[in-house]
Amino acid sequence: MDKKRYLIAGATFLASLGAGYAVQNSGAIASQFVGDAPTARVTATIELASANLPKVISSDSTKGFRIPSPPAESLTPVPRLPDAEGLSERVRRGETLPVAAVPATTHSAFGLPCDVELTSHNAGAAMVQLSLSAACHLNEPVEIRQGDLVFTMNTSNTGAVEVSVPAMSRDAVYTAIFKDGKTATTEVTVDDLAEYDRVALLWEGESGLHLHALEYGAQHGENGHVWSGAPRSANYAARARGGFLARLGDPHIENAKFAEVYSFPSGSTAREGAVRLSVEAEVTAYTCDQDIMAKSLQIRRGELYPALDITLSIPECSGLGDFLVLKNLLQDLSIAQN
Amino acid sequence: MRVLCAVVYAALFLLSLAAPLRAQDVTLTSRDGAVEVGGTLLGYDGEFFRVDTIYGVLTLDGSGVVCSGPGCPDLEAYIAEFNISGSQTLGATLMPALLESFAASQQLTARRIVTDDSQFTYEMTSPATGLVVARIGFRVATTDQGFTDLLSGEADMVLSMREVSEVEAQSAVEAGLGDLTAAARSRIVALDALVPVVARSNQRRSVSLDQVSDILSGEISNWEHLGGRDAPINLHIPSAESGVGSALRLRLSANALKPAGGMILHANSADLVDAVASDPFALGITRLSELGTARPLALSGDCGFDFAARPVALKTEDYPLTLPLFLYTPARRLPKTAREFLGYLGTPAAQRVVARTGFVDQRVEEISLQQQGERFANAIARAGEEIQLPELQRMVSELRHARRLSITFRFKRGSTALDAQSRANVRQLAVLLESGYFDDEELLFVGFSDGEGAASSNKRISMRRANAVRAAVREEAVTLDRSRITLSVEAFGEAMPMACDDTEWGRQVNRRVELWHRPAQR
Repeated sequence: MDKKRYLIAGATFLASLGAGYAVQNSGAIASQFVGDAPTARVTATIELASANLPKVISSDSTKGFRIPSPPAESLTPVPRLPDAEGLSERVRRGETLPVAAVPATTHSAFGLPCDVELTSHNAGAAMVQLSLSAACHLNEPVEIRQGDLVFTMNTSNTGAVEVSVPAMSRDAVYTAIFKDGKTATTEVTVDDLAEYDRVALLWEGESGLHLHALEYGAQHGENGHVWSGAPRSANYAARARGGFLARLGDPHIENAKFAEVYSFPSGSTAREGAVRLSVEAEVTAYTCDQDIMAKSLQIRRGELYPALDITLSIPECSGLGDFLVLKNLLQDLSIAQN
Repeated sequence: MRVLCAVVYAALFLLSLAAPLRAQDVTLTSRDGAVEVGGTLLGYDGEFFRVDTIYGVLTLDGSGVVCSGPGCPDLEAYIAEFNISGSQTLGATLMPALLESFAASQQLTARRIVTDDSQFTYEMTSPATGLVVARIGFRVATTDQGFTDLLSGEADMVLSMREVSEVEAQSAVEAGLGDLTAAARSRIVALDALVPVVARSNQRRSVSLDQVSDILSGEISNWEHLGGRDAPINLHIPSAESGVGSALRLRLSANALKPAGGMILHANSADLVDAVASDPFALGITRLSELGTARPLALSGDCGFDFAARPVALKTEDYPLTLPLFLYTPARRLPKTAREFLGYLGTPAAQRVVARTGFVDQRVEEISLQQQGERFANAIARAGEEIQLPELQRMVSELRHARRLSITFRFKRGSTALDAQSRANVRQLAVLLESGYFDDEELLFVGFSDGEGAASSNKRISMRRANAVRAAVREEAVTLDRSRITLSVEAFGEAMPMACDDTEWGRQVNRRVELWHRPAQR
C-alpha cells in the first residue's frame, strides 16, 4: 500500500511538473539498485502547497525494487522553483505558464526546501545514528521518539540534529516531532540488539536524576563506575570491554525530556559477574519536597520488559545537596557465560 | 444505577420518617428480583459483598445482585488495596517484578511510588478508564517484620524465607487470621539456596558441608587446612537478623558461630558478595539469587558426590541447602485483584519472571538417564554385599525407559512428614494430574533410603514412603480420573545414594521418593 501511495504521489508530483521523462529516469535509477538491501529505510515529508496532493512520499523497498536512499534526492532531479519574491517582474508573470502548476514548496530564508527529513543507520553497539534536517526549523526543540524512549533535542543554526541513540527494539521506528506538528519518520533494523542488556531512565525537566552502574563490584569513582559523569563510549562496549551510558536530551531547552540509557554487552563479554544499577536523585532547589515523575525501560536478552512509571518522593528542602539513593528500582544485571 | 440508588435512598429517607430507623444500610436484590437481602455492609472487595443480616454475616457475589441503599459502594471507583511485607530477598526485586508482569498481563499500567528502597507503593491503572484499580503497599524489611505486620493487621501478605514459627502461628490463630500452617495459607513463590562463595581469583572450586561447618565453628581458620596456601580465611557471614543469616544458622546448626579468625557480618547479601569478590582469601555464604561477582563453590561429599547449586538440583532438592521462598496469606477474603495476583504466581508467565530475576522457578523439568550417568556409576561402584548385582539390574530395567521428573519428595529431618517444598510438589503434581498433563502415561513413585541399617529393612521403609506419597497425591487430586493414568510405586532402598551416609545432611538427601514417568504399558 505504501508502495502504491509512493507511486501515485511520485507520479502526480512529477507529472504536474510536465517532466514525464523523470519518472522513467528515476525508475531506471531505482532499477540499478534491485537486490541492494539497505538496512536503513527513509521516509521524508515534503511540504506541498496543493492540498489535494498526498503529503507523504514514502519509500517502501520491501517489494519489487529498492530505492537508493534518501529517496527525496532520487525524486528531485527536477529543478525546484525559487521563491517568487526574489524574481523579476517578467518571471513572476511567467507563473501563469505551465510551470505555474508546480506546488509552491515553502523554502527557508536560504532558499532551501522546508522538508523535514530523518535518516538512520546502524552505528554499532546496537546504537542508531540519526540525522535530522529541517531547514525551516532553526534552533528549535524537536522531540525524538522510539516506542517509550522519548527525548528533546535542539536543532542547530542550519536546522540539523545529529544524535546517536541506543535502540530499544530490533525493528526501531524513530519519529521526530516539531511543535508545529511537522514530523519525519525513519526505520532501522538493529541486528545486534540481543547482544546488549539495556536500562533506560526517562524524565522531564530539572529532576536531578542520575543512573549509576557499578560493574563487577566497582566502587563509586572507580573505573567500573559508569554514569553521566563518566559515561564511556559505545566503542568500549562494542569491543566487549564493559558498558557505557548515553545521555539524551538537551539541557538548554526548558522542560526538555531526557533519557539516560546504560548498555552492557552481556552477549559478548567473557567475564562473569554482576552490574549493580542504582538511581540517584539529588535533592535540589527544583525538586526538594516534591514528587518527581520518571519512567524506566529495561531490555534483557533482547526482551523488552513492560515500561514502569515511577514517582519519586524527594526529601524535604532542608536536605539540599543530599541524594536519595535507590538500589532496588532497577534489577541488577547478572552476566553469565552462555 | 446511581439514579436507582438515589431513588431508593430517597424512599428510605421517607420511610425512616414513618418507621423507626433500622440499621439496614444496603439492600441486595437478585437480578430477577426474586431474592432480597438487607443489612449492614461490612465490606466489598471488588467482587463480593459482605453483609451483616438478620441471618448472620452473608457473602454475596456482586455480579448476581443489584445494590441499593445509602451504604452501597461506588463500584466504578472501587480500588483494591492490600499490603505486602517481609523479606528483603523476596521484596527487593522478585515481588515487584512479578507484580509488574501481573499488571501487564491484566492490561494495566503500573506506577511505582517510591519513598525509599524499603517502602514503596504500586498503583495499577486501567488505561481504558484512566482510573486506579489497585494500590499495593510494600514494606521490605525482614521475614520477622512481615509476620509482625500481618499480626498487627498492617500486612495482607508476608514474604518469608522460612516456614511460619509455632509462636507466630499461635498468635495468628488468636488474632483470627486462621491456621497459617494449613496448606492454603502459604505457597512457594520461588526457590533459592545457600551457597558458599569465593573471589574469582581464588582457585578453589568446591568445599564440603563438613568443612563449611568447621569453618563456622572455628575448627578450620586457614586455607592451608583446605589444601590451599597458608593464609587465614576471611569469613563473611549474613547477619542473624537477615533471612539468609537465620536460614544459615538453622541449616548448618551454626547457632554458636565461633570462627577462629573472627568474621565480618553483613546485613545485605549484595554487600557481602561484593566484599568477598574483592578479597582472594575471603569465603562467604550467600544466597544463589545474589552471587554478584563472586564465584559459587560446589558442595562436595567425601564419597565423590559434588552438588552444584544448579536450578534442577534445587527443584529436586538434591542440592542440600535449598531454600524455598514463601508467601503467607491470612484466612480472610482478600480483594479480587489480590486473589488474581496469587493465582497469577502459579502461571508459566510468572515462573519465567522468577527465572529471569535470578531465582529458580518451579516448572517441572525432565532429567534423562544420560544426565544421571554419575548417579548410576556411583550405584554400581558401591554395590557389594548389601546391594547385589541382580537388584541393580532390576533398577536399571525399571528405569531405563523412563525419565526422572524434577518433582522429588523429601522428609523433614528425623520425621516421616514431607518438608515444605515436597508438600508444594504434592499440590503441583495433583494439579498436573487433574489437568491431564500425564494422561496415558505411567507415573512411578520410586522410594530410596539412606544406608543406615539392613538393606532389606531399608527397602521396606522406602516402599512405605513411596506408598505414602502416592496416597497423598491421590488424596489431593480429587477430580483425577484414575482410568487415564497409572500411578505405580517401586522401591530400591539404599541402592542409589545421592550423598554419603556419614553425615545427617547426607542421609537426609538420600531419604527420598523420586518421580519417574514412562509410556503406560497396556
